Amino acid sequence: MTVQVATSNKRGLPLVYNEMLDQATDDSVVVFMHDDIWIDDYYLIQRVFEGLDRFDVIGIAGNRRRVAHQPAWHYINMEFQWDTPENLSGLVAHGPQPGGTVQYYGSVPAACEFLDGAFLAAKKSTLVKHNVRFDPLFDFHFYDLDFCRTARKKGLQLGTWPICITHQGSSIFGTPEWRRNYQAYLTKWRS
Amino acid sequence: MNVQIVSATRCAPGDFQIKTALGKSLERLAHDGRMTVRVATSNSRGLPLVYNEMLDQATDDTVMVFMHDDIWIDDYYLIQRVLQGLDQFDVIGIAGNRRRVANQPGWHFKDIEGHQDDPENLSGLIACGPQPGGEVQYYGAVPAACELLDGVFLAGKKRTLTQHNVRFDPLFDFHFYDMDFCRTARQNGLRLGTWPICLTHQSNPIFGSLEWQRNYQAYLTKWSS
Repeated sequence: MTVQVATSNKRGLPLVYNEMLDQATDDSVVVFMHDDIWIDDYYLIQRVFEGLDRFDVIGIAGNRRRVAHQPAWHYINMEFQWDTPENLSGLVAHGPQPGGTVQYYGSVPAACEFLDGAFLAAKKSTLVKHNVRFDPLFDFHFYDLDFCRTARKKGLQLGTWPICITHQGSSIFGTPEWRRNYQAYLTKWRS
Repeated sequence: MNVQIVSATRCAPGDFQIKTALGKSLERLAHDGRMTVRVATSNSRGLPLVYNEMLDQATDDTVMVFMHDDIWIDDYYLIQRVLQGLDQFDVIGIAGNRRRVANQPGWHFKDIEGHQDDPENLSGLIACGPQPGGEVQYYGAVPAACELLDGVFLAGKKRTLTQHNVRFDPLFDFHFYDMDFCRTARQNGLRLGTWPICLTHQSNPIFGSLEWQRNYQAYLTKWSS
């Protein structure tokens, strides 16, 4: 394992992630993670390798389908209505300390259309070969949906993998920044 | 398939869930409908008596997971991992030794002076600390076939244990029951191995106490080495 962190950062995640991706050696496996995650799973590296034997991109939670105008991987409309359990996959713990309260979305592993951006992993060679990158059009919202959609469009297999983490923060929906990114996403993808 | 977590605790029935690491952790696995829990509360009996009793009372298709009560379950995929592990081995643990040597006083020791065995013989990772997400101690790569497993966590299918007449020996109480169990299992043809499951163990094992020495002598007498 090696670690690259953009400290004192204010740039959007796509700029940071693309920069790190460009600087990584060709044989690197790249794991993109938020900084408010406790790694409960000390077999993380082993599990990432196992997951990438099965999928091109892995995450800890996601949605098996995509619907028009979907505003988040687990919501199906702007009323923030949850998708039905049979479409969701993943378990994520939440809390201020390691070993948080576990939220169950659906069984894991599962092939997905969308993955939660809190944790994404892939081989650099796969992303480069298929020209899959993060779009700097986005900053801290929708970069993950856009990334997943781009990856699927380029033929990559996405899926959830059983890795245990505790996420400290909750995702923020509906803020002006979020809405600006949502509009950019809808403009780019038309739905 | 039913996966039964079995444990014993000194705590009173109402205290297990609020005072022990295991009791608090089990809530994190509530999403998995395959899990059931059986705990001997207010317990002072040796673990073999408790574990055998639970084993006898379990249905034939039960997967038994024997755990100490001072374990934080960091891994909320525990049930899934146990079932995967038991596809590869007959009995799984989180740490162990690929070999066994004469008069071995603990799974990771190679002599009575308490020298740790060489890294190439050990397997497992265990976190230690008072809270979840403790400091990780690395013993060796996982998974690995082993001769001995740490008794802090042992899992096996009841059917497999029963068919091969593998039980815990009440000759022991809180020490050497795991060494004896593993040795019995190996003698009866079972495959033992480590599996990547994340736990934090609150306490460190106690070696050398009078109780430990009494159990060690019983172990040496039984096995002759």
